[in-house]
Amino acid sequence: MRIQSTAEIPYEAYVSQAIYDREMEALFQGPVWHFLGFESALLGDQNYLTTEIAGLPIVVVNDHGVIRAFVNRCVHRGSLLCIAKTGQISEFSCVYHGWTYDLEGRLTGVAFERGIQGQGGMPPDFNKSDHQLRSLKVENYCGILFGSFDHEISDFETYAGPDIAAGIRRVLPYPPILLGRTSQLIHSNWKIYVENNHDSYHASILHSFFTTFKLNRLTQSGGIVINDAGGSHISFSKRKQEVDDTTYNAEQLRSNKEDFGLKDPRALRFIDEFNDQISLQILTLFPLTVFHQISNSLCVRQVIPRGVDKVEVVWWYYGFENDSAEIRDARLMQINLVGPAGYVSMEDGAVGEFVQRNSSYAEGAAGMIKMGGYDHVSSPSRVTEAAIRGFWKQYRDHLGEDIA
Amino acid sequence: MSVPSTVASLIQANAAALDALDFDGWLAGFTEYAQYHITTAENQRQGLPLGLLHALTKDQLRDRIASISTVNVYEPHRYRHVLSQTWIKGQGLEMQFITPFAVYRITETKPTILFATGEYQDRVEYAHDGVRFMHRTVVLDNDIIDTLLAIPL
Ligand code: FES
Ligand SMILES: [Fe+2]
Repeated sequence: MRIQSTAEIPYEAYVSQAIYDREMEALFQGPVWHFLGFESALLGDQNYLTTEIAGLPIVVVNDHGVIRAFVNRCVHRGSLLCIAKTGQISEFSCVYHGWTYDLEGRLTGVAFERGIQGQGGMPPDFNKSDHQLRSLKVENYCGILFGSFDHEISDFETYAGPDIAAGIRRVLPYPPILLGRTSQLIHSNWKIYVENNHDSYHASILHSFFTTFKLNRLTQSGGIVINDAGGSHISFSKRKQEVDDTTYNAEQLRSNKEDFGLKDPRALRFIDEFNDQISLQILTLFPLTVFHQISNSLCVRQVIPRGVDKVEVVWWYYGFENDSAEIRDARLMQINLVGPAGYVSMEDGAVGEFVQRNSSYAEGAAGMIKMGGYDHVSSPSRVTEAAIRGFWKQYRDHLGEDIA
Repeated sequence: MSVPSTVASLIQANAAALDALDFDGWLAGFTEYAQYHITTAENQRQGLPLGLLHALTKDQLRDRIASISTVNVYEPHRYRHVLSQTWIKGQGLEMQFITPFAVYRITETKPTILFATGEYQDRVEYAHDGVRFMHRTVVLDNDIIDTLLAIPL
């Protein structure tokens, strides 16, 4: 496959196993940062959590205050080491043949290493100190743990760029605590889902709930910000805070459709908790992490590719320890807007599949991303596909211009 | 105490109404101030409040029906509920009716899938004109939703 120009994306990119395999090697295990989990899940010494990066099992552990991450794979025959979602351990111990590792990942024990009564055992040239778990570089940014397979990668903030980093700090003024988690299996290539998040053009059209209730019209003030690398971006819009219940009654929120209004609009209430009137911020961190602020719903979406035609999205909803009851209630009510069952986001689960179904045997056809021109720079307009072009620019920088 | 037949009928009729896409029939099973939540067993086990759907009044349920009927975009589908025997957990104010379920999802273009398993945790109100849900929590066994969850469970 060859990506012809920054404005055309061959459908083959969504169905080719060869491309997927290269993404697994060169992109996801290359110089990129991935979401691992919340620092708040690993506060206790020797606590661990298991997660995945693009289907690769990962274990993250608090080793006396140092957070370490490893591929959750025994060096002997490859069994998983930690099976539970979370737990506490003083060493890694493999269930299969009992090999053990310290929390720095060094192989410390091999069952029957010297055999039994001189019989069996490992050969003389085997040396435990030659073996350790494959480790990741870890960084804690604003209470979120990120990991990279590339130990030479630049620090998180440099990788994200100043604007994207500021956008992350904006929605993480304190370390997050988990308020709930859910997951969604979408029947499309992972890139279709990620592109969807870069697609500021679709939001107020596909998600008709937004426009119906005037929550995110393209005429609202806002814009998109794209980092220099291209693949990370912020799309945002502003809305005035409605001060009390009476100002966002059914009359004021009368929909564009004459016959439709919410009988109980409390889920639409927006509290301007960051004092900047921004009521919507979709932030993507190349390649597999999305941060959303939709009113007071705050969430990290962890994107997990599951083969060429499936992607799982894990929604990690968070808040803060010092949330007022009012804010906590708003986050709770706004669960109705977001996630797999959300009024404003459920369509993303369906539309990716609509594209995917048309991507096989597309006879060399390509989709176009020309809205807003050909560049991938920040703009006050959201009627643009610049952020999608930015995604593909960074994608090609990682995988090569001629990726097949 | 055994499960009153009126309660068992309410639970059956409510699932049957959803399966038939009879949303008015579904809404009729709830009191005006009914609470209705959908969450996962893992969130419930950890005491985490945010799940999938959170309604504190019947009006919010009416809104959901109106939205999925007129505003939201998704591929047409329906469900088939298979309910197991309702049993009673706890007593007094803590008493809940528990009904394990399996829900299959039927679409025109794809094979039917097992969409969700879990249990209903119900509290009901007895009135002169019948029994209705005053508090229903739908607890899903698995975290993963295939594609989307538009129609309530
Ligand atoms: S696979 Fe781990 S000890 Fe054999
Ligand atoms: Fe979307």
